[in-house]
Amino acid sequence: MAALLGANALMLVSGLGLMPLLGVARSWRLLLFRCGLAYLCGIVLVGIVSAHLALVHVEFGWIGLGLLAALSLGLCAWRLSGTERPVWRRPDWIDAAGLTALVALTIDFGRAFRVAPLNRYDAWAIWALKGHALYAFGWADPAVFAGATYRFANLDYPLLLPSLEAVDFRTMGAFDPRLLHVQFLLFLVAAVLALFALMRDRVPSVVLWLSLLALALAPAVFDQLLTAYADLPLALVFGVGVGAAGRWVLTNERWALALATLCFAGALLTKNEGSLFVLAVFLGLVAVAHARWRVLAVAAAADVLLLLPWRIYVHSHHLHDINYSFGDSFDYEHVRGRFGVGPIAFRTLAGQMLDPQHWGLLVPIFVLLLVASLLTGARALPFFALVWTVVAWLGLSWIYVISRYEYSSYLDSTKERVVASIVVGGAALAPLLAAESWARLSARDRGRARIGAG
Amino acid sequence: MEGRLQGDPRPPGRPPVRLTFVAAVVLVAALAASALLSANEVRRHVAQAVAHDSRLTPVERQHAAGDRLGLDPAPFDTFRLELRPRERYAVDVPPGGKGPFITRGAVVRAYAAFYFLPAIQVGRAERVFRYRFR
Repeated sequence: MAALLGANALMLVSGLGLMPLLGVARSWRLLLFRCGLAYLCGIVLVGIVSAHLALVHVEFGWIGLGLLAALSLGLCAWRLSGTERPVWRRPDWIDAAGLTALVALTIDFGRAFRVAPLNRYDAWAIWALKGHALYAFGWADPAVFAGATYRFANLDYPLLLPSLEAVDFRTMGAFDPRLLHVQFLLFLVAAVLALFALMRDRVPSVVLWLSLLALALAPAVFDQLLTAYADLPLALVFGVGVGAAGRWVLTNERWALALATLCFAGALLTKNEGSLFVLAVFLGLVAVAHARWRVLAVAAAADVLLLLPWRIYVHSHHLHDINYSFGDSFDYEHVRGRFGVGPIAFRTLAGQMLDPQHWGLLVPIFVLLLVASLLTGARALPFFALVWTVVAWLGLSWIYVISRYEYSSYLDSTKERVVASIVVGGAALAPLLAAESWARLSARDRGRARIGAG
Repeated sequence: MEGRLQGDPRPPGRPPVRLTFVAAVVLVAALAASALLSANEVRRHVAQAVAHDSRLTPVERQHAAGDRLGLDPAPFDTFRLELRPRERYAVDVPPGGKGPFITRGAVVRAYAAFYFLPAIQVGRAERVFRYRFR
């Protein structure tokens, strides 16, 4: 456990060093103010670097982590030298209470994550198998990662999560399928801290912490993280990206888009479905911020570039998705025979997202805030939220149409987890939508008061 | 607003209805309700997971995936003892019943691929792992 936590501490340091390079922190003061973003940035950075190195036969363990942490910290110190120093301020009591609740939740959940067995099919057959193979062979050896007998393991899925698992195994010195689960819990901690740091200067503390706790406590978050599947890590990384993109829509701060780009690269390299979600978000961004198309194009190009090495590996080894192919969208006979599946999948996924026993009231609150935001006259943020969620929802439903599997079994076995990215992304935007509506209502109230007084 | 400008009958000193306040109360209540609802549900999930999983012995933990699939652990353990890292092996297993996605035989192949790492499963090899369904 100490080795796992030590590795994660180095990831945190790497992320901290990355923040000035992303433009998130332009001074020591801002670095401290936004340091909550460091952990998730570090996890994503280590995941991306180790996943790429795995393609060229380079192991990433203690030495790699140490070098990356030292390098990013050195660059950080160089970049921030001579900038404004942080000043001690008494912490906000609501923030202190929120952080205490997060610590308590982590300790409580940790009791289950420390003892969870690796017994769910996708967890061992896809993710842990690849993580173990990366650890054992030191790289994405085609004997396994392109082997015909390993096709069941969704070989075309990208390597961020198995690479992180392999980094953990290397630092622990063994393939430990038990402690593996703790890394998934740490994903949640990193994402909650990141969302807090991302929005703390735009959203009232009470609303922000209640939103974050409502997300972290959602039973589906606990259940799905405990399975050691990739869907929730994907959702959390993607959710922070959505939050950052939402902030960029409102404020046009470059650092927010840079952060979103990093998170979307992480999402693209976590699971194939990440491509659908990231595409949906970029469509939403183009819809509401087309005037800023140049920076959007740069962000999209950076994400494509980061995905490219893996796509080259997939292409060169002739790996294909065994579950579906978007190319089948053009197979008219196939699609015509399954067209009725679309509405069924659309309704079923909606039911999943709205199920309070899985997600609490996250989605109803998100929809309510989206409508409230529109009614108060906001346009960019709610339209962004509307476009990406609807596109992602339609896209997921379409997968069931084009898949060759018997749809009801496929839908039943995946419906709970595929919606995670939409729900978490929506939950990540909810505090921003609330703050936006609040600001507009307050302005209206002040206007009325002025007129009344006049 | 128009009414006000054109002679709203309300006294001018009276504060306008604070829509902001009402909206804030509704939002905070909804978020708190969501957090409490979820906390109440997830508390049970955590307790169940801890109660069940903390009782597992190391052997049960090692075979947790196979046990969930109803596979006999003994042949897997015996074969694994003979394997060296990177050694090639093949799997001989009947197709078995068809599940929603793959056959039972394919599940055994997948579990073998996971369980026998760092040995490497191939289509044909001198060393063969044989598994029969009971």
